[in-house]
Amino acid sequence: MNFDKLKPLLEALDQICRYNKPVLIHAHLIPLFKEHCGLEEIKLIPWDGKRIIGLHLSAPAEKRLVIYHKHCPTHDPDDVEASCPDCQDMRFVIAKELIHALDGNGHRSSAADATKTLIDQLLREAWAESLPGTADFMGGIWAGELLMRYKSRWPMHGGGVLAPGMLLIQARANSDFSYIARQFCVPQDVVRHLLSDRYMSAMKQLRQALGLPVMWETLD
Amino acid sequence: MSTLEEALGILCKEYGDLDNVKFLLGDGEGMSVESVAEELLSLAQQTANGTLKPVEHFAERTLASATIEF
Repeated sequence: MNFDKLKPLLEALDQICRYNKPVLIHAHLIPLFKEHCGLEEIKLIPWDGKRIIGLHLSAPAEKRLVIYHKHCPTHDPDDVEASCPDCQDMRFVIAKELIHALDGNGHRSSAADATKTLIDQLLREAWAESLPGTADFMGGIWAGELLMRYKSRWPMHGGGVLAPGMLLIQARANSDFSYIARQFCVPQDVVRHLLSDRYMSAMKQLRQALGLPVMWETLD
Repeated sequence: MSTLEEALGILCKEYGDLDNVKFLLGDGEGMSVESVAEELLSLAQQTANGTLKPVEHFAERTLASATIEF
């Protein structure tokens, strides 16, 4: 992960999107990734694949990023339904593919490397069947941080200084994070991870190490 | 030429030389290099013949007007 690019991008996202508003793919993330990754064009192409649910293609000479992504068969991207798991998945897949624009030099692959990249990914997926969450987990973490920001989770979680809010208490008690997932239009499993005490604590330490804020006197 | 090379050849022709190719794979059965490559070839061919097109409108209107409750 190229933290030199990621940090200003996260800061800019907090500036253009209030803590109590959902992050939008087209209005927020696409312009930010263009600006911070020096891209002129980002194409989002819906793809109804059984095996490939997301594909990131970077064409540097054209300053172009192309993302093929799973889409919702029921709802149009103009009118995403926040409680629809397919809409939630679509947004998460797009965010995850956008994150690859921040891949460091050692993590970029070329078309010539594609066979090795694919085998590597197949191995990771096979490994993840027994160890959930290990396939491309870094991409998942940062996609989650884009769509359900620390700044938005902080008041919900209590930030380690306050008691967790009722929404989180109820979600944990019932093991049902669907209401929170609907507010952010993010998959429920991702929400559960993002709001766990251990993850919040680890992310707090990482943000501190990066020089990003971890608490706010007033939220905006 | 392998199926994967053929697919990437079409995509490079469409978009230019690629310096980062990343797959997000589903959990379907029968996952193998060849089965994924065949799907990629289908994706590439549908792109080249204009069947697959970029999303033109992505307003997320319902989300844009929503406010998160805490």
